[in-house]
Amino acid sequence: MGATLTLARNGVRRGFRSRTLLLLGVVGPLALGAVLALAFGGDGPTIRIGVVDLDRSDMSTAIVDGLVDSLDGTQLELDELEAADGDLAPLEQLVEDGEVGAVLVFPDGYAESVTDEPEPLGVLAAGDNATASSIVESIATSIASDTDLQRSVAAALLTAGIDPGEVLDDGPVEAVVATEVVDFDEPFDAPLYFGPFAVFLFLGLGVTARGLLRDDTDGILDRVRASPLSTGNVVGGAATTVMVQGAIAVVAVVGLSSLVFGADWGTPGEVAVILAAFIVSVAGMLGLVVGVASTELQAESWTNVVAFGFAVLGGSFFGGAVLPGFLGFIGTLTPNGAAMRALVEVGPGGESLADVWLLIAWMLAVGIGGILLGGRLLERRLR
Amino acid sequence: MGVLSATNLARAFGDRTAVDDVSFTIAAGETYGLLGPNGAGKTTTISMVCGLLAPDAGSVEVQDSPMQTGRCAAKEHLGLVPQDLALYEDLSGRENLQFFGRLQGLEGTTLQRRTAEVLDLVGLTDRADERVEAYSGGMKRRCNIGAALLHEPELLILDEPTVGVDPQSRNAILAGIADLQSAGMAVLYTTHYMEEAERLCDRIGVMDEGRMVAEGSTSELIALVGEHPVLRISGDGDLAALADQLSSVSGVVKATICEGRVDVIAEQTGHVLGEVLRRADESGIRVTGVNVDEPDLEDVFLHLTGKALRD
Repeated sequence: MGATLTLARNGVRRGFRSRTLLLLGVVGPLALGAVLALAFGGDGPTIRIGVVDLDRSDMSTAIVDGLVDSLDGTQLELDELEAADGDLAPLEQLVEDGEVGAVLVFPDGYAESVTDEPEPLGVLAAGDNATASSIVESIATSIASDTDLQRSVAAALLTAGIDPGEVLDDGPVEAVVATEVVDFDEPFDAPLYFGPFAVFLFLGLGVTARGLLRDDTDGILDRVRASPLSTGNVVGGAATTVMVQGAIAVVAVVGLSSLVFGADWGTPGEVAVILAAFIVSVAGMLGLVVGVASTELQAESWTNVVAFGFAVLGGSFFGGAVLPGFLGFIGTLTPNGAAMRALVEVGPGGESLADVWLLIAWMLAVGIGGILLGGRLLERRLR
Repeated sequence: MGVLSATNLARAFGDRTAVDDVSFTIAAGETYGLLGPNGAGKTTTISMVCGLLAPDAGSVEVQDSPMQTGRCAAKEHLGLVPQDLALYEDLSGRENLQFFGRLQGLEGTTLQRRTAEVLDLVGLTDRADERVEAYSGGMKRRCNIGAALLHEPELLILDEPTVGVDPQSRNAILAGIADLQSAGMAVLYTTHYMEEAERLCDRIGVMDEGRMVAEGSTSELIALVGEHPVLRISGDGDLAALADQLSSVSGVVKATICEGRVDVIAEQTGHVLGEVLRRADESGIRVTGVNVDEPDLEDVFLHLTGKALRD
């Protein structure tokens, strides 16, 4: 253990003197993250959606008023639109032109149909504005569900001889809508900073991990191994160095992005656990690369392939967006994807750490497994 | 029992045998030279002695402790000076020494004291806090040796420590090694510089193609080739034919071509000189130089392996 710590301390000390690590581990991700946050983060762009009430009943008016109140002060801007003679074509054109992201349509006769078979709510959407479309569809679904719920409750109240009007109001609608848009209430920059940070961290810590191969070429590893220590100490020292340097980079990037750029990463304790697991997984992947590579140059090439491959699959370049289908599943298995998903899920108003334990466990398993396997491969080669 | 005992060491890499049945011992205060051309198996042998490589067969003991590739007590007794400059260039000389000292288990005031002593020993006290990258080649070599001395090992292993060093620094290094030997340290020294081996080593093992082909003191090895002086004939013409002719001359032990001249080993140089010059004249060779050299390790090596040491 003493030899491992001696090796790690030396590695960390040398890392502090390395401009490469400073550039790749801290300056690079901060700069790129700041640019992305300025472009897409902070309060973020306002999403403009519309609602048109062809029914003009008390019920539809109440729901629209509830929607307007719920969305007041959020990044969703709700316009109440008119459709002369029920003609939706001009509104469809507005959506096509991008003037409005998507439009929620209350059909004529909606209120009357509720007691029997409710008319479905309409959504006018364009393919190139998936975010607005999904928000409006989500609101429509919520209203329909809520209406069904209220019908069921009203039926039960009537059966019990109670006037539903005295019990029910439009509260549930507001509650549902508020839940749907909560993610847009607060700025959440973690994906914007974490994406580039993950890529740069792979590259920066890759330099440190490859130091083992460089020491082998320079004869330093021979001198180290001629000392009374095991190959496990050597591998452990390198892994510890990588993880400590990673932790320092995390503290620097999270701290500076929060203090200087006002980035919101989420609850500090939860973010710390997720990023710690991510660093362990990065150390494992780099250990595997060093164990498999024959030369430092080969290890560098593979590190680049792994860093950028994981970044693409894990959504590091897309602010955390998940790729569709099977690629999305594979992306979640990458350290970048797993950490990104965990960060997004525990972000403001999101899940708790317990809800992402599987992602954290996966990252730790990848990390520890990679270090052990990489160490074994390295040991075999040195013999 | 010596400080180092290597017994029947063998190691192959795939189909290639790098070291084959090599044995030797080194006693306290003794300097043992391992001589051989590139590819002779010296570095592989040293790697097994230091526990960097596991032998396919045979064993190594240092101070009666068996050597292994992992953590073992035997490694506490040896200091390795690799052929490469095994130092971190971005650390100072002092930081390098302290790092390698810590790996040997030194700490606290002991580490500080030994670091200061070794810096003084290798003449780097004044430059101790400068980064190694700012050192001259000779200073780096001296620091490279110093890093192996922190823990006062009983066995010092030096793998060609003077490669690329200027004559002045080389002299300083050789003098320092002689001092360590005088202080009772056992030294295993590999080189292909004959003069270094002759100057430093009490005993020499000659390796070729993975085998130990001869072992002994310089005088014992020279005796192996007959302890005869060598007549060196330089000239223009068919020297190979002349060498063939001279091999049959009475009193000539051996005549070979070496580095563009004919080397004649004879029992009595003076007795054959006239005949050698006559044969050269008859062969139409214009003799441009005649030298008589006492035999040295180069001759021993040539005799034993049929090739020059620097091949």
